[in-house]
Amino acid sequence: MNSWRTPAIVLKVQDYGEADRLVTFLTPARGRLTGMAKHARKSRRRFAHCLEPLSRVEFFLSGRNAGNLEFIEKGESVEVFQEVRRNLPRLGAAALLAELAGELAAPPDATVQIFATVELALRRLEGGDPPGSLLPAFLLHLLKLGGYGLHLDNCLNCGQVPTEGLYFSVPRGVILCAPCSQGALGPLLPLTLGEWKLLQQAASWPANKLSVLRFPGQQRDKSLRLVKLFLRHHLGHDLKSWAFWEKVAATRE
Amino acid sequence: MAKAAYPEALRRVIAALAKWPGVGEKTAARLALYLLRAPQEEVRELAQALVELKDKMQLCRLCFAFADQELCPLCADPRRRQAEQILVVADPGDLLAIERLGWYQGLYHVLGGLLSPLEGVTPDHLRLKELRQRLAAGEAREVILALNPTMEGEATTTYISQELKPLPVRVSRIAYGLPMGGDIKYADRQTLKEALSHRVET
Repeated sequence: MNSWRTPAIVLKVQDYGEADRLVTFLTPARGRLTGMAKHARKSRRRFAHCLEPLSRVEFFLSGRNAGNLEFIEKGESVEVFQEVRRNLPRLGAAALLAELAGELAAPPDATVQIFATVELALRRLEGGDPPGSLLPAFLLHLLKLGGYGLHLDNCLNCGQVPTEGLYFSVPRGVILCAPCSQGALGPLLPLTLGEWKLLQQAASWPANKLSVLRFPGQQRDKSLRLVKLFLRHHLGHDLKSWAFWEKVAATRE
Repeated sequence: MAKAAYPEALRRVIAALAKWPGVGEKTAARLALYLLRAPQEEVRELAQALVELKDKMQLCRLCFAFADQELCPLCADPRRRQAEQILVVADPGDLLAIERLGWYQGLYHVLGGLLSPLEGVTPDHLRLKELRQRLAAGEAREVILALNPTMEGEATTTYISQELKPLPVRVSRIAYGLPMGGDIKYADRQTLKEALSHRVET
């Protein structure tokens, strides 16, 4: 039976039975997949250093599969992002982006771009881009690719460009000016004009330009809070990686 | 299948053994038949040991390794304290692997896991507060971090190193690189890179 080769970013690895490993990974062609790596805990040759979360690898998948489960015949490590692994803020940002990508990878037309965006973010973090600025920008970009794009251009109700006192509607993912926010469905998050402009740029710029953006501490925290609330509302749960970001990574930024 | 031919008592033992890791139904049946033929005392001894395992086993008050008293044999040994070293491991299995060497003569601290951002495991889930308390009590002047060279292990190593920096203790971690008897030609790129970047003077 033919095997096929795919680039992948490893999201999660669990031991299974005595020697196997269950691997969740992101691919450009088919989004998030789960595969069984048989005897992976014993075979150093077939899976040398390639079953590590947040690593960029090449997987060779068997033509056979069992329902939604792929069989990983072997893997090759491409990049382990060593600097990301040893720097807690970079690691926290990388984990959040990878986890969000895993949640969003369902739309078939977006999987290639989602994969490319996560890979680019990992490379930028490895290269030393500040995680506190990269994270909100890439989170907003991933949301757009995944079909959860925020409407940040102007007030969605009246179409006016807000001049002061504007709000982000968490359930609708849109901007409302102060008069239109009266009686609107909440929660509503107040934003300054500066915060709004920055979010607008982050949500509309192409991924390869996002590393130019800088989020000062307060704007970073506000932007991340906005994304967190929006995701919680739409996914029905928080991403697991928020806990690490908030308790470990952000405090060292 | 012949399973139906087994009496109820035998079936219960097979079903119980088949739950063990690495034991399938065939192996469970073989083990059960062995127990059936084994001397009465041997089987009683095994049953008694299993019951005592659950009744008596607890975690050491200091290092959180397995113990059958308040302190594990290592923490209770006064000679171990003289080294003034604490070796930090993720779980008791790692402790046993290092202890089998018979080379390390200091104390241990079992974290009970590793930081894992993607799984939401934060420092609150590990026994770090207890490690700080032991260091504050002056138990050691050196902390050796013996955690796996995985993403989770390295994150935990980095975190603990940074947390302990203000304390008057030397913090080191075990070396990463080629295994003994290994072959450079067959080593993966990352391992070779680590071995080179952490080379030691001879």
